[in-house]
Amino acid sequence: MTRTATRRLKPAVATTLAAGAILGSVATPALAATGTGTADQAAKQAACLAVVQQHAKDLIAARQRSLDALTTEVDGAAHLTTTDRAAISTVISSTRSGLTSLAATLAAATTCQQAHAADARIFTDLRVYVIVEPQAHLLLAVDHGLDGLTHLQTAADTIATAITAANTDGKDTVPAQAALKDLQARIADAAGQLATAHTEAAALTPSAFNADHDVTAPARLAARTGRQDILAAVADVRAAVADLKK
Amino acid sequence: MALAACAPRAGTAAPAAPHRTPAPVSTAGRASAAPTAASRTDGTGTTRANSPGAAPDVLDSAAAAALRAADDAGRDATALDQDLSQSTPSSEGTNP
Repeated sequence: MTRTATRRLKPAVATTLAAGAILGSVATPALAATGTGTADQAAKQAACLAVVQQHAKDLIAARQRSLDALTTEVDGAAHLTTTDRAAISTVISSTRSGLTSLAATLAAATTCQQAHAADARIFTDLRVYVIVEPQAHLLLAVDHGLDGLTHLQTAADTIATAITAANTDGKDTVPAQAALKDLQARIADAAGQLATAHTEAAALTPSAFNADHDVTAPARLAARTGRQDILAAVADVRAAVADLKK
Repeated sequence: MALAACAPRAGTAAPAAPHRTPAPVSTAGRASAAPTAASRTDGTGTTRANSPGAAPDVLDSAAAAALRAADDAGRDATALDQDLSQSTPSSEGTNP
């Protein structure tokens, strides 16, 4: 689901310019002073309304397609917890409802200004690309991390048992014990980071983004740190195993 | 809409997933697969006593299991990274 900002931005900018030019003409006092000007104004209002309605229709359709793709992705994510799956589905469902409602509002608009107001709500109320999709992917990421921790805990338990057996044999296990200690610390830290990432991700809303455009950063930072812990823990497992096999 | 009901998972109960199911460990071809008791037979057929307390098969088995778990964790870290790369907010464009 790779998208480029450019691809999304260009049509929007073009439509903004077109609608803005029409609106500017509508508001020209000189034209409004004559009968012909009034007719022109009405025609331009109608043209502006059509432009904005079509633009909004395209925006809504693109977002519905993105939500379709996200739904498919979430449905196929076997590692996702039941709670997170339900939460993401709820957000997708409510966002779809919001888009459908806005589509109806836009279709019923009789002035360019009304259409503009409804069009703006596609962004401010729903935030498909800056909140809904990132939020879902953050939760998917966290759940992958939690799966990783489950595997690492299995590895830690296995290594602890192997160290005990090796100690019984009189083998020097100091390096393996050090690796195990670091492994356990990494697991604990990763668990904390992933919990933070989950909490931050779960709290994301369009209104939070409207107040702070960097609102997803804490969740991403925590998830990234958790991943680094997991990679370090994997290295610890390999180090402990290598020492025990000496 | 906030995901308030979405509590952090304890991290112990892993739902079944194809890539997380450890493959059965084959012992075929492993000369030391069977003799884990007090004695073992060397390549000449001579039965020798094990070194005191040695259990190389146990250690080998534990090492293999730990490495498999580490591999799985590494794959999860890769998947996490891929999800994370898609979590960066992209442009919403501009509204007219």
